Parts: sequence; structure tokens; C-alpha cells
Amino acid sequence: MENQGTPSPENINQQFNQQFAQPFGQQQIPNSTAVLVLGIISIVGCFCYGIIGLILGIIALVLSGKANALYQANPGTYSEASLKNLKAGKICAIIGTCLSALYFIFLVIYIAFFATVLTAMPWGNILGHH
Amino acid sequence: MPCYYKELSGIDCPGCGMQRSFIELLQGDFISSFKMYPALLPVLFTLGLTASHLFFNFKKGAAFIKYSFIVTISIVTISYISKLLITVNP
Repeated sequence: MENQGTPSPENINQQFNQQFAQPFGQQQIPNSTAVLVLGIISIVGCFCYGIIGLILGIIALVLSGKANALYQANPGTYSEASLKNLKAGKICAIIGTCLSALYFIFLVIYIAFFATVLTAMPWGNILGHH
Repeated sequence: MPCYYKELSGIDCPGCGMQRSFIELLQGDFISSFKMYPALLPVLFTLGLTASHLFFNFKKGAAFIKYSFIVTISIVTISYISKLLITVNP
């Protein structure tokens, strides 16, 4: 077994942060504004084909997941405003991604439907070739 | 900027009419801009709110951005669906 009795330096650091630095975190969570901006832009991107919105939204979701993990590892050091930005950006990104994905799936089904209809039509009979 | 989707399939995409509506807005014609594309003003409002929040850091800015985003995207969706229905059976 490892030495459980003596706390490691990282542990002490974390305890210190949790006890003393919690309400007065100053640092911004990295990428929190980027997540917000990408989340907002994903509405504009969901218009044409939905692909742009899908890409932007997924990037924003991945970034927000990483940033959230950083925040959870060390909650005291980051400011509350950037946490709010991060959460708002995450919600916007989720909505944008869902809508873009829906639109994209709709388009794919639409195109597949017309492709099957066009290929399955009895063109020979219609055009009069016997 | 042409919409390739519309050229390909003949159906409007959710962003169609935005540029025409923006031009109408620049000419000062609010009513015809709204009729052309109802979601333009909310979209511009949300983008402006985000930019100003990033510069000035409002206290409840993030929450306002969230709600304004939800309202905007529902307006976009509703206007797109109603436009589709109107063009399918006029």
C-alpha cells in the first residue's frame, strides 16, 4: 500500500484551495468565452445544411467538457462569472447542436427519399421503351 | 452570397431571406425587413448582447444570453416551419 497517512503536496494544495480560496477565485476558466461564442455562432451556422452548426456545436461541447473537468478538479481558483459563461455557452451549444443535427438528418432523409424514388421509377415504361 | 441549398433543391433553408432582410433593415425599412425574415432582429440582438457581455462583463449577462438564445432559436424554427408550410400549400 502507498503512504496513506501523510497527505501528498497536491492534496494539501487542493484542501487549501477548497478552504480559503473558494469565494474569491480570480482566474477565468480557460476557453469559457470561446465556448460561449461558439455556442452562439452555432445558431447562425445551423442555417445552411446544418453542417457548420453541427461542427461548431460539437467543438464547443468538447471544449466545455474539458473546461468543466478543469473546474471540477480545482473549483476554488476560477471565477464565478466565467463558470456562468461556461454553463450558458454549454446550453447554447447543446441546443444549437441538436437543431443542426435534426436539420441535417432531415436533409439526409429527404435526399435519400428522392434518390430512391428516382431510381425506383419505371423509367422504361414511362418513356415508352418496350 | 447565394444559397447553394436553395439552388440545389428549390426549397428555402432556415437562413434564406436573411440577407435581403438585412438590406431592407439597412435601408431603414423595419416592417418589410420583419416580414421578410422575422428572426433577424432577435439574432442581431443576441449577437450584440454576447459581444457587449464579453466586453463589459454584465452581472447577469450569461443568463440573459441563454434566454435570448432560446427565444431567438424558437423564433427561427417557428418562422422556418411556417414559411415551409405556406410555400407548400399557398
